[in-house]
Amino acid sequence: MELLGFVSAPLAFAAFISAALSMDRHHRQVTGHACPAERRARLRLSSKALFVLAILVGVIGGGVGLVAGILGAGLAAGAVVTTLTVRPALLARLLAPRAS
Amino acid sequence: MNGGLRASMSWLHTWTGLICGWLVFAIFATGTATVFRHEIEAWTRPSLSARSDPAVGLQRAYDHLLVAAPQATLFGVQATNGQERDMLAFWSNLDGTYGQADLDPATGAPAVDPPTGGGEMFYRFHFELMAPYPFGRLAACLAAAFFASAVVSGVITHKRIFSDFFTFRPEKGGQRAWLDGHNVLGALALPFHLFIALTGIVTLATTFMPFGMTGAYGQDAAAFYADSAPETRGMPERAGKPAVMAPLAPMIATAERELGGKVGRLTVNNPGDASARVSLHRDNQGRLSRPVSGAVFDGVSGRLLAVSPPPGPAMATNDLLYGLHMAEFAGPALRWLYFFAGLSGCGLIASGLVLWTVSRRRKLANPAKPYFGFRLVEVMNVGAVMGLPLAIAGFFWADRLLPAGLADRPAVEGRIFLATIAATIVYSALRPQKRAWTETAWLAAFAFAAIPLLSAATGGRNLAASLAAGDWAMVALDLTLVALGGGFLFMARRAGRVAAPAPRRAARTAAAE
Repeated sequence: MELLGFVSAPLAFAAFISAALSMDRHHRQVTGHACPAERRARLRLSSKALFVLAILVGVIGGGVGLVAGILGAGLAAGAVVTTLTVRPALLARLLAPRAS
Repeated sequence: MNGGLRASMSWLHTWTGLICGWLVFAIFATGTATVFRHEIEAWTRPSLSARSDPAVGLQRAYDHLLVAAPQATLFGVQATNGQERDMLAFWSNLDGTYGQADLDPATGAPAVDPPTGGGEMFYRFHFELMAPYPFGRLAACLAAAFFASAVVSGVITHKRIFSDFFTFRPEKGGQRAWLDGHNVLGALALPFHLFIALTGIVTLATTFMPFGMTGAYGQDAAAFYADSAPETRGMPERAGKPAVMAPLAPMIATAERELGGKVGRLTVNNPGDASARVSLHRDNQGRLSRPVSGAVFDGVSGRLLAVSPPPGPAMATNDLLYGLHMAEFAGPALRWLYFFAGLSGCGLIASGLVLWTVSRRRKLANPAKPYFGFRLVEVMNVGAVMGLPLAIAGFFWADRLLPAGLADRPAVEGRIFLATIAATIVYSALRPQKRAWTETAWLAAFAFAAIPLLSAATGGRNLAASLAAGDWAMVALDLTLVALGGGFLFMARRAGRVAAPAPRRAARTAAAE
């Protein structure tokens, strides 16, 4: 059950990245310009969906899974802050237009 | 109203943080070390093997104590598990004397290593602060309450907690960087900080808030504790008729079936007597709650007499909160998360303490000669933030360097721990502030990184041997100590580079006038 808590950590990580990139300050850190409105809406939606998924996975993991999920989410948020501070270019790839 | 509330919360946050910050840092730092207290215990007792069957170890300890403590009216043994390698045993004798020993599960006899406080020292310091009962516990409780209020007031104070959640601007330097760092560390593990402070108060509730207990039981604490473990009620008086004790293994098998988990603790009342009772309690691994669930057997016939009933709602809530704080349910990965969250808490408190001086230094009329209160905070900041890690490293050094036959060796280790903190405070008072930070950080870097070498050189745990034996817990502990040394090295280099901020023009003008 503890394992499910840890599964929720990558989901929380993805949710945090989406939430951070939907903010102008961090979007500018990564791309050099503010977040366009349409992209902001999509990022916020995906962030919320990923958060709900992360919480659900933690809850399914029971009490221990939930504790692991909460602590793992903190670590995931720390990883996002570190990436934004040290290597924001890594996140730029996520926002690069996909080749058709 | 909103501005007023924020201002008052900011005041509360600043002053509760400052007044209790040093004490809370000490509690947090030792609490973080306590996450791996069983591994530290094993590190200090190199004769103990990584692998042992808990049931076999209990049987050996049971057999050993029946022979070695024939005058005991009661004895108890904590079983080994995936983390604990020694078996802590205690006994009380007919003449009212008590005894305690760490038993080796391979033999059931006392471990051959020199006596040491081990990881238990950090655990006890975490909530008793090496102060006499109940003062240390009360101080720890008050500190936890102040910390919880500082966390809540810090959240209310912060205007843009969500938009600043990921914002860390170290390149800005000075107050801005410290504030960002403080905010980020606070936000990352906010749920952890809140629940660890509140559940910490719960663990000491009977000391801090004994009113429910005294209201229901008066001064009869024994009745309260008997009701807390109802299966142990009605223990018979010693009959005075010697009897052969029943083998333990069938009782363990029955208890594990009845309790739904592994046995973690054994208590024997009236051993070797016709009235003997054997109590077996479940360990808490894998379950969040920490209820007292045990089974009592007739020690002579081996017959099951009683099993703990399920706890009531109040007790179940207490057990859950207690369990959440103790983290006995956690596997290795989750314990690492507790450890990192604990480190983030240490960073949060340390950055808050430093922020207090950074934000006020620029307002000083003469930064070279600050007023007494400011200087006191600076000195105490170094004393607490660097003194605690140095004291932890000092404990490891003391464990390896103190003579094996030294009288009251664990107490000497404790005194060295406290003396290191005191020495750091004195050193900080004698040195310029920046140099005090840098030099103590260099010392901490060396003190931590050299521990594995010192241990190998003095016949203790050896990283190479642990690697060869696949003893990953000891490998991880040694590498963690080296990593902490690396962290302090980074800190020493950064602290050495930071330039003292220039005083504000206004302050300079005021000083000139």
